[in-house]
Amino acid sequence: MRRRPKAGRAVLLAASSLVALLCLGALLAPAIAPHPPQAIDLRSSFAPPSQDHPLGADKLGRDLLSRLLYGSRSTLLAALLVVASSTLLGTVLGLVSGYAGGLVDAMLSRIFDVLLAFPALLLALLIVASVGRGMANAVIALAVVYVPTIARLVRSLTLVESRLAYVEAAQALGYSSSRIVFVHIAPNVAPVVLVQSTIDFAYSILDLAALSFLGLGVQPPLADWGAMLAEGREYLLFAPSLAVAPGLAIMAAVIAFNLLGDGLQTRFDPGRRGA
Amino acid sequence: MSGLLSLRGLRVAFAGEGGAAMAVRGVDLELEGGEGLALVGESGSGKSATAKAILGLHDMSSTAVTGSVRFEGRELLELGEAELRSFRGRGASMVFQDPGTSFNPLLRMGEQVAEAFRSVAGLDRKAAREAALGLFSRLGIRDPVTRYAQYPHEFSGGMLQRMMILLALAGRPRLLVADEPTTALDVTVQAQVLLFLEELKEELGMAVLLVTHDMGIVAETSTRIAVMYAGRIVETGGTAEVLGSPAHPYTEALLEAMPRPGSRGTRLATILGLPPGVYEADSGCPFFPRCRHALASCMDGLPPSVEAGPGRKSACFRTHSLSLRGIA
Amino acid sequence: MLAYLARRLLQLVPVLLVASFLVFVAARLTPQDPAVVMAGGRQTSTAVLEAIRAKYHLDESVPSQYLRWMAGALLGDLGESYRLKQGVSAMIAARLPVSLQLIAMSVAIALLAAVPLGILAALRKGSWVDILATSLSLAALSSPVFLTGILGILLFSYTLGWLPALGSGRNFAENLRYLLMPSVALALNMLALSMRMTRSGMIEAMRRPYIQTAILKGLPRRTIVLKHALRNALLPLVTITGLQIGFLLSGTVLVEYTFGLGGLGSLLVNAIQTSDYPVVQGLTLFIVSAFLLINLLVDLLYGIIDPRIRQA
Repeated sequence: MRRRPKAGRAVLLAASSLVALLCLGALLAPAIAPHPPQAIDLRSSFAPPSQDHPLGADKLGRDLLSRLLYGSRSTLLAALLVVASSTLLGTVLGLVSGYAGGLVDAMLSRIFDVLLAFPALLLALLIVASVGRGMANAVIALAVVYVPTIARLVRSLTLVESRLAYVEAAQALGYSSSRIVFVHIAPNVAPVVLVQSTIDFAYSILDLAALSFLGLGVQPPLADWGAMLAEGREYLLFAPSLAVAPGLAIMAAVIAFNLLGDGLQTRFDPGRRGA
Repeated sequence: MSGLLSLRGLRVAFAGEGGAAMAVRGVDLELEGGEGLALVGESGSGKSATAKAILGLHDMSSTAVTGSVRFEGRELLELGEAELRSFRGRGASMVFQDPGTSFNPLLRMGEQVAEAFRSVAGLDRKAAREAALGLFSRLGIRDPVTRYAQYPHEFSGGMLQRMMILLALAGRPRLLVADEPTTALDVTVQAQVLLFLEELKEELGMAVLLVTHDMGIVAETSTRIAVMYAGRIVETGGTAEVLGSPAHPYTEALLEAMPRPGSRGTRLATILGLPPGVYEADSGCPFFPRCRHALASCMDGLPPSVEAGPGRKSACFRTHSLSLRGIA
Repeated sequence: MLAYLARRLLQLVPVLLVASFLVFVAARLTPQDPAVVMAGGRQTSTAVLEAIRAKYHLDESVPSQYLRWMAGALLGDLGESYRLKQGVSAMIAARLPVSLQLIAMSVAIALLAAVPLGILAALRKGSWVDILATSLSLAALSSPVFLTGILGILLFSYTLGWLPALGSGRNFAENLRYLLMPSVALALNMLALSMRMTRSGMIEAMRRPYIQTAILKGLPRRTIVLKHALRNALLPLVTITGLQIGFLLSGTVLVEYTFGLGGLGSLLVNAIQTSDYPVVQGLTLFIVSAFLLINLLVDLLYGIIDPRIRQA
């Protein structure tokens, strides 16, 4: 016999605790990190875990734990920027496209078609190749990549909503289109958008790490999980933790946001719980 | 006559969000061979859960079925999966509410019909195909060979439901359980399908347990009626008697809620209030809050089922002191 | 069916045209001067740069350069690499087999594992098999392919010494061994998603009335599951195939880079890192075209499986 709602609540609780822990680590990094993330100390090159370096140190003697803590800042901040900007833009475009219909809808839809013709990471690579590497450009690239998915989703939801009685009532009352779209329809699509953006958060952590791993995102010596993994890969044989630790950090963060997305989806729409 | 089917203290509980959802709370019911019995009640009264329990169709991982279901003297709740498999389709069979979803959308109709003949009637591939084509012809389907290769969405709802009935009868069962067989159909088609069912009942001499919420079709199809409320049978008896002078206030309310031709005005009478929830424990007569004949004493325990005339029973404390209105 | 196919192919043309223009413009937006890149990045006289520009038509307007490029592309000529002075088409052709084999092996591994696992998890919903499969799939969905790859190298190459850590073999058979770990790493994401889709599709299908009809026919459970439920359960899996292929193509880039495989993915990364734009734009166009065509094929496949779509 199953007890899904209880299990769902437990998942949601576990996921939010993990996310809260991550955010706390990022916020408190300056206070709790034992060393500055960029502090080079060649005497502790590849130092094993000790009191001074709880997780050891890298080739330049930089403290791994401190770099992980600071790395969470750039990772979470970048992912937040990607998700916030793509969600905002995608939602507005989707609402307009779905409600306006006609030429506006047709043109926006064709643009989305073209953007979706690229595999996601490939489009991001192309944009980074064109505007140059670095964290800011990686964020812009991924934001562009995520917009069409959100816009498509919001567009289809808007199409459904605009046929409902409350929208017709608002039209009959003579409300302006922008009022109907942003005051009446938007709150009704918000839960689905929230779930999607949580899942996008997980994906954007992965994609940002991938760009940094390829040397196109955050640039060394800045502490970033993807960049650290790429650096650590060179010493895989005798200091595996340098690559594995940031990798596991990425994985933990992604799991947290995936679980949060799962939990929110069950919460908002228990019936439609799919994959 | 010996009893064909006998339900004793049947209970069905689903694992739900608030614990065990008690859909059926102790049903006693008898059915003779060749008899037509209508099981009537509002949606949520447990009539479909009762019907599915007879065929052993509940998902046992999330459902508890207890009590006794005897068919020709054999206890069905004790059958293993293999025995159940050979019982279904041959001992008893079933027709579902929505013919549109009763067939697999991705398989050809002919194959789905022939499959039943192969499995239930034990025919070989060729004979099963012949039998299926024969079934198509019997239903008046033109060009059966072409239609054999078509998919469910290419057939009308009425046609699909008649096929479903014939398919359910492929193994010549002694009992057919029809769960709201016409609810999903157009009104004009409903009568045709019911007539078709009636003809087959006469032809094959099987018993039919018709599950419905529609009092209107009961009179035409069934000699006996059992009224179900909140997981229990509250009244049983001959159809004419029960409809003419109901013994239970719920039956009276159901009859009043029936739309009748000739009654002017479009006031849709409904029964006020809601039945007790599936998680609610018993406290007094379950119909008490909605009953217009209720007395304070009706809250004292469950009303027992008592004789209410020849071949009639009613589970109401006031069975013998009430005179209720029926339909002529 | 043929008319439908033709119409769908025609619909791809404008999308591809706009996409190719985007690719071309993206490559032209770069801050680097292609002539300088071609000259090897050293200080070169203006005269030499002018000569290079004239030779590669870089002095023409962007639209006319685009037309020249597209005309070539239609004939299978995607231009010439700045760095290696080789035809881009030939470079793609040389590196395609490794990527194709990698992707094919991944898809095979993913589907062969995902479908049975998904069925099992669905039929034993709530059991330890289900809980384990669902939890592992979350881990697989959340693990970056390069982390999976690195862990694989650590375990199977460095610790156990079973499989080669880097590079590819000289032929198909050798590659089965060389590509095993990369394809598993690449497959995991698809495996996890497919497993979840199969599981939820199966749970949904087993609840449908037609399954009860099949039970009434007295069919054995095997037949009910494999003949009646599975097809319906696989429909949602087919609908997300496009998404999966997108992940797969993106993942190929990362996996080839991680394992030092000389396929299309590592070619792309190298080209971007070295500002070799003809390779970037030619390869991107190639991958986008392949992606669109595969998606079209999947749509056709969906029609074959579902008669309701086929006739609509």
